[in-house]
Amino acid sequence: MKNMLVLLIVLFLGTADAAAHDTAAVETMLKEKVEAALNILRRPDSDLADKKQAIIQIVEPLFDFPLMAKLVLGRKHWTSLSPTEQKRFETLFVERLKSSYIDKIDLYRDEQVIWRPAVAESPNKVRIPSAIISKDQEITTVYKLYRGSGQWKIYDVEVQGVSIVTSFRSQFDQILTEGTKEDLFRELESPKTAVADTK
Amino acid sequence: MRGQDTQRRIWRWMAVAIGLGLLAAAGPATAQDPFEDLDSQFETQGPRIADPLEPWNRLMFEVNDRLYFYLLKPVARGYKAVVPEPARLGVRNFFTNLKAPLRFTACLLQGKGQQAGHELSAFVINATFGALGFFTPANREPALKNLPAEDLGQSLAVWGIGHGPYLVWPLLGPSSLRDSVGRAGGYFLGPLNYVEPSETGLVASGVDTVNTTSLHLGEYEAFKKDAVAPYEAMRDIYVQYRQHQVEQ
Repeated sequence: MKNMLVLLIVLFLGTADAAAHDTAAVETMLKEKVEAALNILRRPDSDLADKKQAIIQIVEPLFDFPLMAKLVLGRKHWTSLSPTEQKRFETLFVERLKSSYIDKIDLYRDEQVIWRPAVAESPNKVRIPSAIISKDQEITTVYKLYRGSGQWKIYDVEVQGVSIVTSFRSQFDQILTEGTKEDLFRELESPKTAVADTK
Repeated sequence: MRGQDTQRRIWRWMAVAIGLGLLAAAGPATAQDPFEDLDSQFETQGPRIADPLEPWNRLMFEVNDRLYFYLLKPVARGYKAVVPEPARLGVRNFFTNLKAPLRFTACLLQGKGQQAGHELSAFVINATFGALGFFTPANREPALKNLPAEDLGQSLAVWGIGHGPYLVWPLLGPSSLRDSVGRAGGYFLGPLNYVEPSETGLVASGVDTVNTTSLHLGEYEAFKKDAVAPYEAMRDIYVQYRQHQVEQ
């Protein structure tokens, strides 16, 4: 009996410890990647297009894009699409997400990142808060990661409390509730040029 | 015989325990599809707001959109071309410091005594040693740096008052009934309201708006580009952002 108790305790502690250890590991991993991306951005020599390409190489594997594509539609709308439509949506949405990210990369040139302690929400879910210091003001950014099949990946990012997934979710819900799938695809395929002159 | 039996039983228990332990360790990782798990999380957490005045709000959203592109943005770009960034940051600091009485009151109404004290200290330090607030010497003290911008809408939220309907105001942008009430209250706590003649106060508000815009050019454009349904996106971002501010 005593043996069994000891064993159970050891097992329990073992899993709890493993979870804590994982959180630390995923924190380190994210920090390293983000810092590496920022270092590329701060390199004075190479041109912006090259830098963007290099950053994408680092950042892309961190995100679970297929999962994000599902989450922004939600169960109700995702399951109403045929497998072909799902694939089409995923491609278009991920395309848009990436180009939006690339557009913003050079906004972060002079910024500094402060990391806050990670919060494990469950053994497979962790929130890693950070603050970007921009023009002397703090912008709170939370990376939300999930562990599926052994690997930690980002499924959502919150900037100043605004979740990317939540805000796309309500927009797509609006389009699909008021309109049709065709409206959805038309909106995603329409070229966006509004941002031409920002400076 | 007896000892062997007990031993065997212990071994069996241990096998069961190990099995359970393995299940517990492996369970959450494999048993649940991430989509199922996270989807329900987003289903319950999304903040919503009633929008009975949607036709009006949509119209005002359009009006503000035009005002930005045809009036505010060109003016802010011209201003940016003439005034260097350090000066514009100084102007920003000046107006931020002017709003300290409002933040101080909002802190007190939320029972945030310590933060109210910090607001007061920062206000006095910046107004004196910071040349009327153009500089922020108070920021050298970490406790006085980056204080969350409290307002009366947040105080009302802390008292348990919900948003009420969503409201888009011309020029002022997205708000809610609750936050509009807070804003109206805050108006009386702003020194600009008491400047004579009143035109001077209006001009000062205009400078504040143009100056702020000049520091954030490109952000609204990026928002428009990213959004698939801009009106809904703005409404949703407003609610999420206010929630974040209230929680801070």
